[in-house]
Amino acid sequence: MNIRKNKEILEYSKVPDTDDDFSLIKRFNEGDESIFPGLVRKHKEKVRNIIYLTLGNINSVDDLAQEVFIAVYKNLSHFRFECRFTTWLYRITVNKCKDHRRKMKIRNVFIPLKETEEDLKYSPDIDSGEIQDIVKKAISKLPEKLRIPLLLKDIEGFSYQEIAEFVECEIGTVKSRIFRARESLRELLKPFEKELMV
Amino acid sequence: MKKITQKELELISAYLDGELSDEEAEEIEKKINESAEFKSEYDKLKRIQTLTSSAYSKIPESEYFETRVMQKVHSGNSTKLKVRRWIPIVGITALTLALMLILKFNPGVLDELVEQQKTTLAGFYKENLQPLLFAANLTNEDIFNFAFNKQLPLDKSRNQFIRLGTDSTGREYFEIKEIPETKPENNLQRFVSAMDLNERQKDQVDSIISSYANELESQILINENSTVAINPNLWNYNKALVADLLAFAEKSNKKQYVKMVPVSYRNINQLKVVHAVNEVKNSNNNNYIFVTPDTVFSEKYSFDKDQYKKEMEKMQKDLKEAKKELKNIQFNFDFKADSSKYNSQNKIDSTWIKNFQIMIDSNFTRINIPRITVNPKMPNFDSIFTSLHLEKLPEMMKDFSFEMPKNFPNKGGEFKFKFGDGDSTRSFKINVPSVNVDSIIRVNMKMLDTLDLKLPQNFNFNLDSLLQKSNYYKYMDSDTLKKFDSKKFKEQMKKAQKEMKKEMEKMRKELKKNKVKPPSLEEKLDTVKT
Repeated sequence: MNIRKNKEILEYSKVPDTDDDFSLIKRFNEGDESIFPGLVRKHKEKVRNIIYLTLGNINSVDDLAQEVFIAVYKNLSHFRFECRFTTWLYRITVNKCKDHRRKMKIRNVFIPLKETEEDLKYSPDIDSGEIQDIVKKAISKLPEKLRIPLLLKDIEGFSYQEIAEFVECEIGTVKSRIFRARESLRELLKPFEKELMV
Repeated sequence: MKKITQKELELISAYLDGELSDEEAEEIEKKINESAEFKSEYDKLKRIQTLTSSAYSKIPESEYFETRVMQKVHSGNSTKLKVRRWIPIVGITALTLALMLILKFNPGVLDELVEQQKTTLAGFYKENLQPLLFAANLTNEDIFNFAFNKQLPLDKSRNQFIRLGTDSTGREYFEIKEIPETKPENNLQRFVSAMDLNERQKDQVDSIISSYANELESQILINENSTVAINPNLWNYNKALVADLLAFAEKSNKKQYVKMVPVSYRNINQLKVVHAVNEVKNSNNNNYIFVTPDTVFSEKYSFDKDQYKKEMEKMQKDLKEAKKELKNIQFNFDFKADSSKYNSQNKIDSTWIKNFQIMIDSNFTRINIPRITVNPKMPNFDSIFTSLHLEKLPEMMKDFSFEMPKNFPNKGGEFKFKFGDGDSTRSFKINVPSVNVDSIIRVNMKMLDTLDLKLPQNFNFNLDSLLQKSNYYKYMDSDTLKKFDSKKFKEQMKKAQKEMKKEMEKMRKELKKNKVKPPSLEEKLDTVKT
């Protein structure tokens, strides 16, 4: 079954590889800062997508991504080669997103946003574009700790192990959170049972 | 049928994600294949997974992202930026707190500040105040007019007057105004003659008026900062002066006074007037109204007019001496086209600069410059014109009169004319058979020959080279001057003479043909003394 094949690949990639990133980081730490733009170019899209998924909107993606890389630049000398660079990078990214959301929450106490998350409304005719929107809205209603693992898994295709490393928790927790996310989603999408064939 | 547990559902979910060990996966696969419920749960979870994974489309790539990151990294003080953002807020808060504290412990500080500013500004405008009327040289006539017309000249050359008046509500005001063309009316003189005052009384009037002149002088002050300070007491002086004059007039000639003065002014209580006048003079009101370009304010200001007078007299003395010195200064005229060659030795004397004065007004601009003595002396331009004797010409000509008869006989006969030189008139009678052309021509020829053509060059009027180069040359009827060639002119005149001689010769021949003897002029002249 193809699902098992996937797993084999994942297991293979678990081994901390002596990837290009390590040699680049070593050069950087030896004083060759010219490699840094290359490093950014290599990882920026993944970082930006993670931010996008985590925040649920595109507005502050680039600002936040810049902050991530600035943090990387400043802390790269502390990187200890104990995990893959991407793990370290995505952990920073997820933490930045969490920080950002926290700030936004505090700000929203004072300035109520116009776009408060709308209730899912039933309308008789739904096309494919609208299905996407409905699902998105339903996902955005999930609590953060369920939503991030689910999206990192289903969209970015990270393994439970990786996700556990990014969000800093046990693999079992990731497994259970992803399942709970799916269950909650199914509940949320109940009004659209027929259309979505849930 | 067995109910699916939470644990089993989690395993189905993990199986979907490919996260189970081989054994676990095999077990779940088996259950899904065997149990319809497991199959149904698996399908639902798979459907959710599909929906989720297709819900998000990838965001567009960000161009130049690395560049921007690197820029930020290098300028890169994101933390500093954050601090900077707070600086204004912190600053304003600190300032507010400081102000609050200052005002709490020293509530008068702002008022003090404002007051201080006010006094410095007032000080600026009060600098060097001088009596305007001192410079205006008020005559008794002026002060007399002030009494009855309520206007005082501030600057006679500009017809500028200060006028007192009352508005419709009866409030007194003054204005500084330009009054065009005021004719000298000699009101004082008219007053004196109307009241039929004798010499002694006239002197008394003068002394009354001049006593006010001194007082009035210190009522209006000005300085170079365009401040005009006016003492409102000016009004009282006006009233006191009127009362004083009228009271005197009444006393000295009651009969004329009653005829002249309106009823309302009559019956002035002498004692009352004296009392009021003394009060005005001794009131020493030091509250001046300062009219400045910025503001109008009223403040106490003491002006020591006696000291000022002394200072002025001293200054005038000094000025006279300075003028004497100025006359002795000689300027060496060292002409150089290149100003860069000038050194400090040739700098203008600073006393000269001090005497240089420019006055600019809407009506006129006047620049007073001191007289400069130049060595060697400049020629006196007036003397140039005396050599022309132009002004003597009409005098020389006025005694000669020449009278010609209306009917000039062209075919012989008697011809009379008169010739006068002021003392005597001579009348000449000429008996001419016909006109003696020859002799007339001869006389004319002589005149032409002796005529010394006075050309500009012969008038002792040589344009110097500087003047010729300058534009002044153009204004001296340039066309004629340029075209005037004296040699050519003389030649032309000689040519004309020759032509005339020829013509005359022709005429003579024709006359001879007609057998008319030309009589000599002397023979025919018959002088008769009147």
